[in-house]
Amino acid sequence: MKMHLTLVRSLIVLAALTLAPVGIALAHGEPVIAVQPAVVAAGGQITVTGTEMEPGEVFAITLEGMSGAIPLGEAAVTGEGEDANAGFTATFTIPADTAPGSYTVRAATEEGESAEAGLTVTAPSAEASAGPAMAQEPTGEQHLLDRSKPIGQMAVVVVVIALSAAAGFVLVRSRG
Amino acid sequence: MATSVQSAPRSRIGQWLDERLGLRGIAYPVPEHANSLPYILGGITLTGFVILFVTGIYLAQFYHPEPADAHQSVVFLITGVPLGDLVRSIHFWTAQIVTVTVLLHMLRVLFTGAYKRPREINWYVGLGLLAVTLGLVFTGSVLKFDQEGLEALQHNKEAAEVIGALGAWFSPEFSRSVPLLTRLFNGHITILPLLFGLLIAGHIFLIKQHGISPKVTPDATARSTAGEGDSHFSVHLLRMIGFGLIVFSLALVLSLIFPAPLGQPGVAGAEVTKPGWMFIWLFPTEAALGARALAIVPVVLGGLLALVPMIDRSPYLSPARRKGLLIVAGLILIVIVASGIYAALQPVSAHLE
Repeated sequence: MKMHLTLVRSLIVLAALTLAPVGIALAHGEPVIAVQPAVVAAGGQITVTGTEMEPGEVFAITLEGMSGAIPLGEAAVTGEGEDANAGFTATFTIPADTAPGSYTVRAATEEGESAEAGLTVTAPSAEASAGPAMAQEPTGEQHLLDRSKPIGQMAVVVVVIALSAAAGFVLVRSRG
Repeated sequence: MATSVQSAPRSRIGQWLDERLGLRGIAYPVPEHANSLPYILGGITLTGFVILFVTGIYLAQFYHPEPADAHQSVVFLITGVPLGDLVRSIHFWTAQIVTVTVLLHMLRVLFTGAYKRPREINWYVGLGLLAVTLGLVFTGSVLKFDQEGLEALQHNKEAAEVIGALGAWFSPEFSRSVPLLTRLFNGHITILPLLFGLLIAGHIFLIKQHGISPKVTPDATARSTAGEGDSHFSVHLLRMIGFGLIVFSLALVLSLIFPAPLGQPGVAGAEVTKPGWMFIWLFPTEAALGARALAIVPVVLGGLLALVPMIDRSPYLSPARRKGLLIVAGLILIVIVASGIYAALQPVSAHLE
């Protein structure tokens, strides 16, 4: 009986631990940031765009990684009054001595509002030290590549399709 | 009624192989209905997985699972690797086909009551295989690291936060020394295939143990059919391979006409694409409930599927005797399909928080 109670209690604690963060991640209208580019060389620059913020708020931007948090600077939200679309666009330089790896860019106010986005930092490159990285526009468009195939390859593939389909139909109709 | 079907191989090569490999052992009896298409969907899925493993091994030689290099390595795969574009497209289209066949297989098992005693455990093994399949599709869609892949990764992170400690592995904080993309690649090529191997071995063992579920007739009841049948497994196996070859041909045709898509390199934080058809049905729920929908809805659906053998305990297989369960299942299916169609027709909207 005692063991049964312990098991039930353990399950309740496990369920509570599992579901605890649900409440935190719910609300829409929380500040959001986007980081461009998603991958940057140490010493390069990133553009952080914040949205769904209140005019006048000031966000401290930090780079959080394995070795701790690196302050990148601050960004003030522009806009007026009750502007629901207020936000900021700011450019920051990733310190040249930042170790390559997976990082989180966090924007946080003193009041505790916070938003984050992932960022991968690679080893420093000549391009990074030469100037700011081009911020790329997000798009759902396809990457245009030359996907034409040599006529010989096409012919072989067509033969393989025919042979494979024919063998398949023979086996499907086979009685063993 | 058991039928002796273990005849000796006719050809010399057959005799040679049989002497060394004991091939006659696979000619055990199975019912004739096991060779019909609905009952062979699981086998078709398995042959699809063989194609996926072979093509996947080739692709892994050229794919670079580092965020900085991933997308570019896929571009190189398409443009610079011999047969790279074709092999990647076969991998992509076979994954689509396998997802369809595994879902149809599950629906067939549900419709014909093939989860009933003594096959309940195999139903759970099958649910595990469904989860692994969807896990493979999801991780595969992230790996290309285009805009769609990056957005899938971001949704993955949000869902991981929602499930708390259980989602720790899926969060970037789990390992700062190895990017999440690299770990998902490891999951795609090692952890999930290993799980698949273990589960499919168990699935096949239990099918052999209990036999194919009886043919559905108005009065048919669930029971073990091991050792019964007028056909034999070697016929079933040949049909399975035959359908596998047809699936391969279909994947090749689709690959030639519609090469596997690749979007532009991803921009973190943006949300301008929609996921694949197997996940898009979650979007309306996510719009209403937030990221928790991504974790809760699949868990609830999985839980409902897990409850099926416990709820439907009568021995009858006929759908006419199981109307209640099948009506509820049908309604859930209609909601999922309608939700997917609605999401597909809607303009892209941001869900990330």
